[in-house]
Amino acid sequence: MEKRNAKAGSLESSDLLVVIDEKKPGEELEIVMHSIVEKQYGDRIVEIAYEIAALKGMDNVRILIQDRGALDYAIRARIETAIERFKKEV
Amino acid sequence: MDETVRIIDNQNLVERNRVVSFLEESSGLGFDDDTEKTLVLERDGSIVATASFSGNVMKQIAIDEKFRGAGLAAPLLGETVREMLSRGHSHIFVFTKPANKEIFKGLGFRKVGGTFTDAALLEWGAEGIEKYKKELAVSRVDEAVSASAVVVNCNPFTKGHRYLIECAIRESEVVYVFVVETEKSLFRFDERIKMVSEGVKDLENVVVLPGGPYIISPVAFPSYFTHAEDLLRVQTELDAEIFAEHIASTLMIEKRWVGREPYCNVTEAYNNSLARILELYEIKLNIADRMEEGGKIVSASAVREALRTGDMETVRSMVPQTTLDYITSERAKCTIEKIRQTLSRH
Repeated sequence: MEKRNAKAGSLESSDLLVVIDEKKPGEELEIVMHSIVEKQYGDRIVEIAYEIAALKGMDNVRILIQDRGALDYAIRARIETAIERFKKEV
Repeated sequence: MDETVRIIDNQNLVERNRVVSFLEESSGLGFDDDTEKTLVLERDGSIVATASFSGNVMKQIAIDEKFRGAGLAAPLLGETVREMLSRGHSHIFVFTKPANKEIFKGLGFRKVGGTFTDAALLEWGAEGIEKYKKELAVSRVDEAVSASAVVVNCNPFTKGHRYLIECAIRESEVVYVFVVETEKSLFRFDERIKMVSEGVKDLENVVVLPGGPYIISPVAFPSYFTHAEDLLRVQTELDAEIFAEHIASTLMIEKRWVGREPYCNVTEAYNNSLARILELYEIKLNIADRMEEGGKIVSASAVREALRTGDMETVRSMVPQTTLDYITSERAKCTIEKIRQTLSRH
């Protein structure tokens, strides 16, 4: 029942935790985002995630972003690292 | 001052005993045997906080009184989440006192239930109750004016289960049958839901659904499976609240049916708490008397006992033909063998 996943980051303040799981064959890319600054920056974070996922050719995965107020470059770095780890893992 | 978060080797008795003592001294909590991993936060070599998990449930969380409110819990709990993810648990649950809810919320936990109870259930991850409700709504029979629900484990499916469902359908246009999904029974979930589906096939307007993570399971109601004497009323109520608040509201369920349990105190207490909470949501709890066959009360545990001793006559008297077909089939061989050799009551 439990699936393999890859992650990057932490739940420390000003950081974010990114978790990537494999989806069932045929399912689309899904991005789930929760943030303490969701109202102000939520859309922007999701936009960044889609951008990086497209660049890295990620589909058929779910990317969970649990943000605790990280800066733009940290968000990018964490997502990229999680994707790299996921590619090695699966 | 040296502060580190560290994973404890639970096999190492010295390490484990340090955690056991800390748990007891700091908060009177016990250390469960099924604990999968334990993390500790140490300051200069002494434990100041700890958290554990088993499966996807975080538990045994305690912090030294002297350090409460100092922000020590968050890093430890954050690490525990990461460790759970590493072990493949991506949908994480925690029970907590309402007062501690905020610490968890800060880490991204979201509330599932705990409005009318002394404990709250929170969850973390991409999966969640809102998503579950959307999936559940697909199964809703929209034209039904009155709907009721039963929650069953069916280990295995007996004439008693069938009777309960028949009682419910007599008074409602549709009955939703939730099959507990947790794998804590001798019959696997896929076997149990198959027996239920086969067993009600001829009944109209009965919808069989997988229980999912929010219907009685060790997550929502651990004591059901351990028969622990220190049964926690709050957990029962929490389970009832989650059913009423999320599941019944999604499927427009106005009645829940349960079987009377003459021998089992746990189920009796469960039914009482269930009634109290459901009433708050204007959902009626109907208790059906247990079906008898040849002077004996039909129950899944009696069937398992008969299977164990090879008493096929009792088995035949207590299960419908569909279940009998399954348990005598090649596919059930493994499970039946397991029942013959086990002493587990579940």
